[in-house]
Amino acid sequence: MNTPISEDVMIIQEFTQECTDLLDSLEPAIVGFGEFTKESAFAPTDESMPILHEVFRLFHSIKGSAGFLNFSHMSTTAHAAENLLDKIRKGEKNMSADDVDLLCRTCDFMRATLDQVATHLSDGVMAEPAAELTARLQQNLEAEAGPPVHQAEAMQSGPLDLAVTPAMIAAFVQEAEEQLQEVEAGLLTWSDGGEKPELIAELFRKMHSFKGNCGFVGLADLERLSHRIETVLDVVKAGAGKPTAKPAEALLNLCDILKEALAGISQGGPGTIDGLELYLELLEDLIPSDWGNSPPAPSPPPLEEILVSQGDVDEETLNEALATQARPLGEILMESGSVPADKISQALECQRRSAGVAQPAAPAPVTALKRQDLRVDLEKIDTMINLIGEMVIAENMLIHSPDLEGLELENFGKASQQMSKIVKELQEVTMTIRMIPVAGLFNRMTRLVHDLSRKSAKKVDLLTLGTETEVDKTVIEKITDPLVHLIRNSMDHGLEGPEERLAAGKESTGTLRLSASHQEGEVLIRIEDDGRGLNRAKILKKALEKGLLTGNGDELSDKDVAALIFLPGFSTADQITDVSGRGVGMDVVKQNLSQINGKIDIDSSPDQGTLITLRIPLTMAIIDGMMIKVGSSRYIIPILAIRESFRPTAQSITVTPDGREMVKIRDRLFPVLRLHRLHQISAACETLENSILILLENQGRHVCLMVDEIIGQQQTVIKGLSEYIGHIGQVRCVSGCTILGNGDVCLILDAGNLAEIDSLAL
Amino acid sequence: MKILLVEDDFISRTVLQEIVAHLGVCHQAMDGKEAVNAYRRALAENDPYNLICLDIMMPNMDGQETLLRIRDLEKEHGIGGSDMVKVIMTTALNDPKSIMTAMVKGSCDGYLVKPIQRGTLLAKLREIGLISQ
Repeated sequence: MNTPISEDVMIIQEFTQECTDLLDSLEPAIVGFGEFTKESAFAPTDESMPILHEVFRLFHSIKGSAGFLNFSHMSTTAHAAENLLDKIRKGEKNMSADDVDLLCRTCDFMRATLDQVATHLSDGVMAEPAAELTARLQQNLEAEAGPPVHQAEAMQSGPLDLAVTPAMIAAFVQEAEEQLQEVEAGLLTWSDGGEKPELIAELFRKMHSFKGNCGFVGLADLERLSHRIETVLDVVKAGAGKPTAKPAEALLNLCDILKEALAGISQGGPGTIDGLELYLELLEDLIPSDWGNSPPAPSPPPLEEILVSQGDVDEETLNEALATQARPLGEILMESGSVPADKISQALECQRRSAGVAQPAAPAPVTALKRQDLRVDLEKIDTMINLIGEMVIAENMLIHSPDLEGLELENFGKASQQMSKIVKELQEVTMTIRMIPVAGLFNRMTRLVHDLSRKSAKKVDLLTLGTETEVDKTVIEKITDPLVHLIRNSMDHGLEGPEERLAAGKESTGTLRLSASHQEGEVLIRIEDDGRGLNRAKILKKALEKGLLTGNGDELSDKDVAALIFLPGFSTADQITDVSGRGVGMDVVKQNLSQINGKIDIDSSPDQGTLITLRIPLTMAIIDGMMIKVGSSRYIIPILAIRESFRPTAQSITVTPDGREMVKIRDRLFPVLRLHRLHQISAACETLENSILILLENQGRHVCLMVDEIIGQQQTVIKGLSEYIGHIGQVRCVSGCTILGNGDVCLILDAGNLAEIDSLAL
Repeated sequence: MKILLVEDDFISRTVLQEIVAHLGVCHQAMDGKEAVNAYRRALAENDPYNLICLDIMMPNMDGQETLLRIRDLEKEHGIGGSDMVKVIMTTALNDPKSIMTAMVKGSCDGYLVKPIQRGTLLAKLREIGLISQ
């Protein structure tokens, strides 16, 4: 029986795949049962029944399919688990914590067996654990409520105690971080807007599952702390908290502790919390001393009362038992032989009934059953994007192949057009895989603003807009630090304290708006405050002091003055606070942004506030480009920068007294830049009237670029310039290069730099 | 015992009926839609089927889909565990994917490849405890 019926590996692969998926989706549900059974044995209710059914089906499916493939050990074990569940389902037996434990072990066993099966095509080696597990399941099936404790202990060291793998830890850390993030957001709302029952309940649920996860991977410290936090939330939920206590703040700090511990774990640390006892004690203060001993009104009468009232036990014996109560009361009484087991289960049943529907109010993880997403290594996606880049190049090589020049190829044309379309779609889809909404990033800022406003005693409202805007994951990583710096700056320098605001005729609470949006292939992130704005005089004074500026700076425009704060070593804070003022912030901001080709812009008006705009290109890999020709050289201009192209008439050209060439378009004058002069190449035409002008726009600045010829539009894969060329700046106004169909290298022009160049300086 | 045979091919359906007719009441459906309707009706009458023999390749709604719908119906009605209807898939398809889909996603109780033999079907019914040894 131990050999599969056929050598058909395919079906076994299919089997392991399907079963693993099923186990993945149902294991949390099984763990969820653990919550119901923590206090006492539990009988399924209307709410938990569907989950019980799902779990039953899991084992049923495994039994059936394993039986089909003759994996007898797997099948018999699943059968035993199925029987146990069926008995619970029919109400013939209550589910105890031991049962849940056993079911979890069964899941572990299934996984281990699936691994075996996948590699050895047989579950033969699992005979021993299977027999043991089946026996245990059988035992629990026959046992009445109240599991024998010593056996559960024996199981701890049993061969089935599968180790927690590093992969599990990694998955746990990732999930736990997300959970904490959510808890934190909830706590912030709580601390700002008073407590709402739904909010607290939600927090309780989140903390609860966090605790569950910690327990699952065996992080005792984290579990203890989160359990205590959960209790505090429970106290608040029940409205039994001390009226003076403000737990939200304390809990926020503890969230940080948990986060730190998690970070430690992901770096291979043991996951212990220093000073755990202190934190626990701290939280103890928030819990009423009688909490847990006499539960609030709507809970059922305690077991002992029922027992006494039924006359099954006298008070003396009861008090004795209560004195040592660390386990469910029923167990103790039974063990000491004071009360027969059936009386206890009778009383338990009675207790359960009086609890009615109220009892399963514990969180039921119903919604989590159907989620289907996949965590993929970012590296794989990057490889894929690179490959698609290569494919675009190969496609260009093919379609523009010199061999085809001058040939009339109607069918080839059609086919190649179709292919271009598909390649483009493929590329777009791939780029969206890397995109994630900025909501998570913005949420982190909520916390920051909250902390800063408490620290500096400034009242601030943070508004976040466009949180659904999706941005490349790398971009999110790169702008996190800059954003933190910028918000700190706004809070420290921009926004005033309440008194100063009132004196200036503003509301005492300042507003900070954080918004994200898409615009012309760029992501715009705007940080806007209604504070005092940049102080021109102060900035100029500081710049002179630090020797960053020569002259008195009167000739500088407001924008240029604002740009000074991005210079390394610039800081105007009168005293260094731990919020900002170390003078390293803004230049780091700029550096980080330029790494992702981003730009930063400051608009500020005194007493009105400051607007900082970050512009980041949506993609850093492939752009739509227009190919142009100057002399014998070809260039690519990003299409998004092009406003129009035209052949100028002689009348539209003006030369200013100092020799600048300007061209007039619809009554506006724009500077002309001769590309061949910039890059010192010989152009085909030297006269403006014979050439083509392309009007480029970048952040409100315009320039007309003089070129010889426009060749056409082309998907352009951006390749970085080598360190040497890129850093030393030998080639001006070039942001990268690309490889053409014939293998030539072609430079990509940077519209931003072009617009800043003074044509006279050439 | 109440049985539902779901099969679009007349011959196969007749053969199946011949085999199981002596076991109890035997209803027939020509495709998945009819089967789901019949199942729903039986639930409404509080007289559910004990066994469904389900073909996979059928017009309108295939067997896999039908099975999932039936399991969903059961879930809606709070039927689960050993009360779930026993389903045996009967099909000419012998590819691993479809077998495992039915087995794992649909929790079917057996998977028989056509042509159906009296012996194998009855053995299967015995195995899943529908008829006594």
